[in-house]
Parts: sequence; C-alpha cells; structure tokens
Amino acid sequence: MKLRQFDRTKSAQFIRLAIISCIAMTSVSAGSQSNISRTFADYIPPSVTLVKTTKKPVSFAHLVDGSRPVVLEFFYTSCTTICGMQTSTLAGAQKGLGKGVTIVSVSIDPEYETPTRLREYSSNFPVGANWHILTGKRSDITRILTAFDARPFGDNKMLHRPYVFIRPAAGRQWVRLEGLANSKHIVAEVRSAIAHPPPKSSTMVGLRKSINRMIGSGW
Amino acid sequence: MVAAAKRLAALLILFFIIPVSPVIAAESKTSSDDSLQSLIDLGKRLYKTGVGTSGKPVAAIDISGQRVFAPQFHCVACHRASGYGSKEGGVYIPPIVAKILYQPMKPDRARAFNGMYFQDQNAEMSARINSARTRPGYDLTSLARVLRTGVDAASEPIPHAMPRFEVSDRDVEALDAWLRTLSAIPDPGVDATTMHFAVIISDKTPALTQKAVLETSRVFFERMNKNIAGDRSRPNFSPLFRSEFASFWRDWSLHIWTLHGDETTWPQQLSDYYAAAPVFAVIGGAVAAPWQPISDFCDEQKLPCLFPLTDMPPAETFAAGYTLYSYGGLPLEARAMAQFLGADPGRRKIVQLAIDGPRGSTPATIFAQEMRQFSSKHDVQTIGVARNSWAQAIEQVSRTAGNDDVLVLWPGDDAKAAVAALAKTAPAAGRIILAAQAEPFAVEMLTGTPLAQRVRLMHPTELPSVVNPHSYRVRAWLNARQVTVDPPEDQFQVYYALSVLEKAVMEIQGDYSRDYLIEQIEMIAESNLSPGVFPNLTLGPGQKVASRGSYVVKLDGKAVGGVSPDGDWIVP
Repeated sequence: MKLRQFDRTKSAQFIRLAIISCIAMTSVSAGSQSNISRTFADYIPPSVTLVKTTKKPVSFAHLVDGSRPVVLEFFYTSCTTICGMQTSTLAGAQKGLGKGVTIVSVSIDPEYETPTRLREYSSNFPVGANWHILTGKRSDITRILTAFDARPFGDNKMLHRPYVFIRPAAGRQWVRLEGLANSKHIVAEVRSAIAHPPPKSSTMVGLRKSINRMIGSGW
Repeated sequence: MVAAAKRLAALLILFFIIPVSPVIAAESKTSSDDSLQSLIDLGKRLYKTGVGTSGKPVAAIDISGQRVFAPQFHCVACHRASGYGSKEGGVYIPPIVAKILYQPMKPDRARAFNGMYFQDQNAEMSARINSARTRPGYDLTSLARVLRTGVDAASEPIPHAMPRFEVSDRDVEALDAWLRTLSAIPDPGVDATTMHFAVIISDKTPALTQKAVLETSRVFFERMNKNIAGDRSRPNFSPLFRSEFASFWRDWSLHIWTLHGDETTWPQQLSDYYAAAPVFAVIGGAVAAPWQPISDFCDEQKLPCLFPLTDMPPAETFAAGYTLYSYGGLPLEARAMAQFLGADPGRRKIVQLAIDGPRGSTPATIFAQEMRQFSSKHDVQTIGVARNSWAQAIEQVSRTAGNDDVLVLWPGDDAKAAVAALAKTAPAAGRIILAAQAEPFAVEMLTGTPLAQRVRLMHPTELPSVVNPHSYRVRAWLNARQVTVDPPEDQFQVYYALSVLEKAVMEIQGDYSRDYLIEQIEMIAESNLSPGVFPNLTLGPGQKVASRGSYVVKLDGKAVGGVSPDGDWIVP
C-alpha cells in the first residue's frame, strides 16, 4: 500500500517535471507570447510556380529553400479575422528582421485573388522589396498547404489557422508557430532561430528535395 | 381691476403661446431628430470606412502597437455589415448588434454553442467562451474604454485579435448612435411561425427547367417542414441539443413568382409580388433572360438571391450586391476565351459571330475588349447573326479564312442551328471556338468529322469524366422522392442553393437579418455541400461568384462525355 502511494507521488513529480521542461523548451527570449505554440518540423516545399503581384512567375521551392532565412505565412485578403493583423505584424517586423530575411505570403484564395487584387491589398501596408506576396493555381497552392501541414479542415479557407513558418538557414528544419504573434515575437523567433538553429533536415528530406529540383515535381 | 387686467394678460399670453408651442416643440424635435440622424450617419461611416467624425481616418493599434489605417482594421471587416460578427481562423468575433451589446450578457446555451463550435484558438480564448460569462450592458463610458484600451464592460481584457482605436469622444458617441440601430429590427419575410422564400421563373423559362427548379424546391421544403414538425412535437427529446434550437425554427413557405411578358415590366411585377407578401430570400430561379433587372430589384430591397440558374449575370458581378452566383456565365466564358487565345502572342484575325440580342452581344463585347488588352496585334471583328441565318454568315467568313485565323461563335439559344450550319459549311482553315451552350450539339454532330480537330469549346463546369461523390447522394435523394433527375446540372444546383440556405438558417438561429444570412452563406459555400457541377464552389466575405474559371475542351470520341480538356482550368 505504502509502496503504491510512493509510486504515485513519484509519477506525479515526474509528470510535473515533464510539463515544466516542455514549457521551458517552447518558450523563447524577450517578446515571447505564452499563447503561441512552437514546434520544429521538416517540410519539402513543392516545385510549383506561383505569381507575384507584378504578374511575374516565381518558383516557390527556390524562393523558400535558398540560403537566406525565410518567414512564410498563408493568408487571404477578404479574411475577417486574423490575416489583416498578421500582415500588419509582418510589416512591423520587417525593420527588425533586416534586408537579409525573405518574407513570403501565399494566398489561400487564389481564384479570387488576382495579382491586381493582391497589389491593392499590399498597398495598405509598407511592403518591402524582400517580401513576396504570391498567388497561383488552386491545385498548386493546395500542394503547398499539404506540404506544410497547413491545409484547413475540409479545404474550407474559413477554417484556416494562424501559422508562421521560419527557416533560418539551408538544410535546417522549420520553426512552426501557431497563434497570433506580434512583431517583436516574430523578430525574436527569427533571431533565436538564426542564433540557435533548429535540428538539421534528415538526409532523406535532402535527397527528396534534390530529386524534386531535378524532375520538377514533388513526391 | 388689477386682477382682471392680469387675468386678461394671462389669457392673451395663453392665446398666443399655446398654438405656437407645438410648432416650437415640433421644430426642436425635428432638429434633434436631424442631429441624431447625422450622428448615426457619422457612426455608420466610421463603422464601414474607418473615417472619424473629424473627417480624418481613425488609427487602429494592432497587436504590435503599430498605427494602421488598412480596410482590414475597420469595424465592418470583422463584425460585418450585420454586426453579428464572424468565426474564422480559430477566432470568434462576437456580435455587437444593439440587442446584444447594450443588454447585460447572461449565460445563453444556444448562443454559446455558436462560439464553442468554432473555438479552437488557445486555452485563454477557450476558457473565455466556455465559461458561463456575464457582463453588464455597454454604455458610452465602457464602449469608449473597450475601443481605446481593450478592457470590456466587465473590466476583463479582450483578445488582441481586436485592435485598439484612437477614437475621440465624438467618434464614440457617433459609433454608439449607429450601433443602437444596427440590426435592431428583424428583416421582413419571417413571422412567428413561418419563413417565406420565393423562387423566380418567367414565362420564357423552358418547361423542363421550370419543372426541375420547382419540383426540387417543393420536395426540399416538404422535407424541411417535416423535420421541423418532428423537432417541435418532441420538445423533451433532444439528441444533439436540438431542443435548444426548437424555438428558432419556422416553417418554410415557398412562393412562386412567375414573371410575364416584356422584360421592362418585370421590376414592377417583382415589386407587386414583394408588396403582397415579402419574403426573406429568393432561391435559385431561372428566367431565360439577363438577370440584371432581378439583381437590381434584390439590391434595392436588400433581398438575398441565392444561386440563380443563369448564364447572363451582370458583367461586373464582383461588386457588392445581394445576388450570389454559381458562376460568371457568358461574361466569364468571354474572359476565359480571351485568356486562352491571348496567351499565344502570334498575329491573328478573329471573327466573332454573335446571335442578335444580349446572349450574343454581351460576351462578344467583353471578348473584344479583353483581346485588345492582350495585344493590339489581334484584329477582332464582330458580326451579328439573326436566328437561323448561321449558314450564310459562316459561308461569308469561310471564304477568307487562313490557317492562323479564329472563328468564335456566340450562338445563345440558337446553338443547335449554329452547329448544324458549321457542320455543313465549315471554313477550310483556321480554328473555331464555341460557347458552352453549343457543347452537346458539337459532340453529337462534329465528333469524328475532319473539322473536329480544329474545334474548341468553352466548358465552365466540371469535366464529364470527374464525378463528385455527393452527386450520387443528391440523385438518390431526388429519386427517393420520385423526382425525375433531368437535367441533373440544374437540379443539383437548385439542391445546392437549398442545402446552403438550410445550413445558413440553422446558423443564424433567431437573428433574422438578411445581411447575416448572406455572411453565413459566404462562410458555408466552400464546405462539402457542392454536388460537383463546378470543380470548386467558394465564396468569402464580400465575394459574389462561387466558380470563377473555365476549361477549354476539345472533341474526343473516346473520352467520357465526348470532350477532353485542352490545358488547365483558366481563371481570367
């Protein structure tokens, strides 16, 4: 009986310790918000061509998988809740991030959001030269959302979630943030990811990326 | 004597003042009404456009403390035109209509379900929604505080998804005046027992289409009313909490508005129908004529009009309005066709043969304009064709046709005659592109002929080889109710409109606001209710057209339905 009680106390202590260490692992330095979840994951950006606000085509895989640090988010212009706030946050974060960081915003309502409409939207925010606001074919954008595990429930864009993805350097895993972050938090996350990079991508992921680049498709 | 003089003086004063005083009172009432109205208007402007009472834009303070003026930060962007808020991206935007904002909040299970179902943001928000929260009604002071500092009427902080605003006292007063009127009166078309809906048809609507629209609607209404009667008859039997909502349900009543005669008399006929019995929304419908007069009527009455069967929506349907369209019709076909041809930079002579009337002239005009945008090299010539005179028109064009030339046909409802003429007197060279109406006739008459290689057709619907599983359910549902499924596309679209309406009516519960109904439909359209007539049906806040692209197909005897795609889905 006593032994069992001892066990229970011990396991409770262990659980407490585990919870504390989880919290410690997920929190970052100054500017952090407690209600934002943070994980690391390997993603393989599909080799699809998207369109910039200037109507020029751009390879998504090249844009996000180069040597420069990347911040990626998904949004759409007529969103009634988080997208405007998220765009404003990234606009505020630009200065803190500096010119070396590429920001990529991909529309999840591509058939409505023509490059012209995206240009109108972006004119409301101070969008710098390193910020690429992109649209494209619906099927291609679904592939990107699938690759980043960001596909909304039932493919209904209304059920999308506030994600920000950060990749500090080539060959590293992505930091995946979920929650409405502010500019300071984004800047702190990017700096922290550059200073203490996430684990390296697995060899298999590297191999698959190379093959994608060669054959121009994802698998 | 003095007393008598005083009495006389008092009488004189009364004599002059009494008749005058109501005038003074009326004048002062009018001026206070006017100033209240102008305050309401200023509040409305602030709510919808973000312009403050001073005439300058009001700054919103975002989650990072930055001042922002973007339209995404205006009140209406999140709380919507109805004021009933929204649920999106894991964020619940609460209603701020008069009857909720200014009343003390009590725990209300039916209303709480709405928030709980979509609430999946974080522990803090989840606790906020799931707790039986109360707060006092808002007043000017607490309204100003929540706008400026984000602290609500119960002195609790609200989530950062809501910006803070740099509003003046006058701005708050104006917003308060506007919010007190927002969705304050339920919209017409609903009474204590019944919700009224209309289907619009005309005496020009083909008999088969009329049958498809009316029979599908009738059986859907019957099923709806039986379900409602079932819920009402067992108030204590409550699987899935149905009894919580039983008080919101109303019987659905179907009104058939048949338009007769000349199209110029239609607005008056619609007004007469509406005056006799106002409805809450118009569903589906088919008039075999441009939808513009009906669209104008619905906008005027602020009457939602859901997914009519029309290939002639107004050309500019992306603008705000009360009609939601399944697809962009002939204007969309014209734009997609221009994109298909414009993508090839070679110099071309393009001749359009367009049937006399709007089904020919509208797409032809749009096509010519769009082609000019691509390149001045394209020489577009448009020729009007009377009914049954396709053979002469095609023969005339054929004489000068070269290999690079393109012949475009907009045959309207004379498609059979146009394709028959094409089969007989086709140009010896060049490509031929036909509008989607011609597809069944082209498949029947041109497949396997030498001409087939040079023919392309617009195809703004799903490819025949792709079958949506939901279409089997809808077909079985109709068969089970002894409704003949013919033509399936029309019936499936009517069924889609009805099932979207059913879901939206469930969402709005007892809040009978037409704007709120449309806002809910914008959210629901992309869910899995589509029976697959179009590859994707998707709307969003302020969007009015659910399918925005088209395939270009070629004749292919081996493919299902006789056509296969020539390239990707084009979104012009």
